This record gives sequence, C-alpha cells and structure tokens, in this order.
Amino acid sequence: MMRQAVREAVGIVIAATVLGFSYTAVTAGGFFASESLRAAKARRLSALAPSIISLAEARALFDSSAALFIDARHEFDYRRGHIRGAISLPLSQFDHDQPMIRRLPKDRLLVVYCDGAGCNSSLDLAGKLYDQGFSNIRVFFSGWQDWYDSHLPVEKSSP
Amino acid sequence: MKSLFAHPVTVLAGRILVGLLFILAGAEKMGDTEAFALSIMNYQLSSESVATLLATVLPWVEFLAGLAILTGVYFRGASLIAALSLVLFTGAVATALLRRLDISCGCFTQDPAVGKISWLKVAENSGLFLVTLFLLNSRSDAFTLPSFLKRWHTDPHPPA
Repeated sequence: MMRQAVREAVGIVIAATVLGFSYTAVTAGGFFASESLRAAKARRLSALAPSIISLAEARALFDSSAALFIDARHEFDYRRGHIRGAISLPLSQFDHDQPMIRRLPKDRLLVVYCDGAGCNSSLDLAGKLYDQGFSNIRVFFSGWQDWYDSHLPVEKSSP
Repeated sequence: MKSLFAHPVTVLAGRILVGLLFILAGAEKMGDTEAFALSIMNYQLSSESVATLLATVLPWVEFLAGLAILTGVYFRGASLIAALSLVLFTGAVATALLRRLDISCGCFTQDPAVGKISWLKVAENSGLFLVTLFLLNSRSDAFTLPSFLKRWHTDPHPPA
C-alpha cells in the first residue's frame, strides 16, 4: 500500500511541477518575472507597510523614545555626527555586523536613516533588516541632512 | 474506539478537513509567486533560486494534494504528500521561532501583517499531521470518486 502511495505522490508532484511552471510562464511570475525577487520585495515593502516617514514623524518618535534610530551611513560620517542615541549600522558592513544585528530588539520600532534624500542606503538597509525578520521598520528618508538643518538633537561619538 | 477511527464517516471527515485546508492554502499562494517566495526567504533557510522554485511548485502540490484528498482520487499518495509537507512546514516554523525571527508563516495569506508565526502554529500543524497519518493508514474507500464511479459502472441505474 505504501509503495502505491509513493507512486501516487510522485505523480501529483510531477503534475504540480508542470502546472506551476506553466502558470508562472503564462502570468510572467516566478522564474519568468521581469524583475528580481529583491526588487519585488522592495515594492512589496513599500506597498504593504508605508514605511517612509517625514521629519515631523521622526521627531515625534525621537521625543517619545518610541523607536531605535539606526544610522546606515559610513562609520566615518557617523562619528562626525549623528542623531542622538542612534546606533551605527553601515549598509556596507551589514554582513560583518551580524552579531550586533542579532542583538537588536525585534519588538521595537526601528527608524533607519542615511545622509538624506540623495541616498538609498536607508531603504536598502531597511530591506535587508526586513529580510532578517524585522518587520517593524520605518525609513526616515530625508535623513541626517534634514535633521541637522532643523537643529534637532545630535551627538558625536564612537559607534 | 477502534471502530470509530475505522468508520468511513470519520475518514470522510478527515478528508474534508485536510482536503479543504490544502486547497485553500495552495489557491491563496499560487496567485502571487513572488510574495510566497519572499515568505520562504524570510525563514532564511534557502537561496533566492530555491525559494522561487518552491514558490512555483509548492502551491500546486498543495492544491492538487488537497483536491485528491477531497475527491478520494490518489488520496493516500496525497496524504503522504500532506504529511511530509506538514513535517517540513512545522520544522521551518519551529526553527524560525527558536531563532526568534519575527515573520509571518505565509500559510494562508501573504500579508506580512497577518499570521505571525507562534508555537500555536506548530501545535496546529502537528494535529493536522496526525490526521494525515490517519488518512494514509485508513482502509476505507467509501465516499470517494473512484468508489462512486465503480458503483455507477457496475449498476448505472440502481433501484430507487
């Protein structure tokens, strides 16, 4: 009876494989999609969780201590000045900083920022953190320049 | 108690439960391959290519297995698939919980805000796994499409 069950199971898997590839070929999904999975993820992240916040929203989160700010810029820029209390997590060091990332609180709101509207590090870092299971993320897209120009609390320190 | 488990209606109830759940789970995922692939990648157990392959095939496996279990066509083979897939899903959820990943299971919806994994999901899957083992070992072919067709071929006009 078990041998027959295995034969039936193999038949179902073969049929499912044919149907799955045919369906994605017709609908231009999966391996037949025009954009990469990572691009699709960025699209989904922005569609499902409106994650980009304004200066006012970032300031409200800062004032209420409701979020942990994460600086995606290079360590050198972080040392020269960053949002007070922010931690440094340069996008380029993401793989190297895994031990520190694992210690980040998963239940806390994370606000990621980089230099400003001209950079995408904050979006990329948010995507990478999202990939690692952090779902409570906001991107302060106008970033450091906007914060600094508004004379909001900053500090200089080693990361 | 033994006769209750061997009763054709008990087998039918198990088939309806597992069959409908697998049809629902497969149908929800097959419409958005990318979203399901992303759900798989969130478990951090596979590469992008493997996640895409699984997202292409797995929803159809679930759907066809569910359909087979519900109609009784190849239902023991489909029960074997259901049992194996539940072992894999439960293992993936359990390891993600142990690694403290904050992700959704991607079971019946691809919305990350819904269906966060928890030990309850492990318990649900374990219960469902027991039902699939019961179906795999059941002897009853009553209320299956093949049994109806066989009866119809034997006697296409049964007396009222």
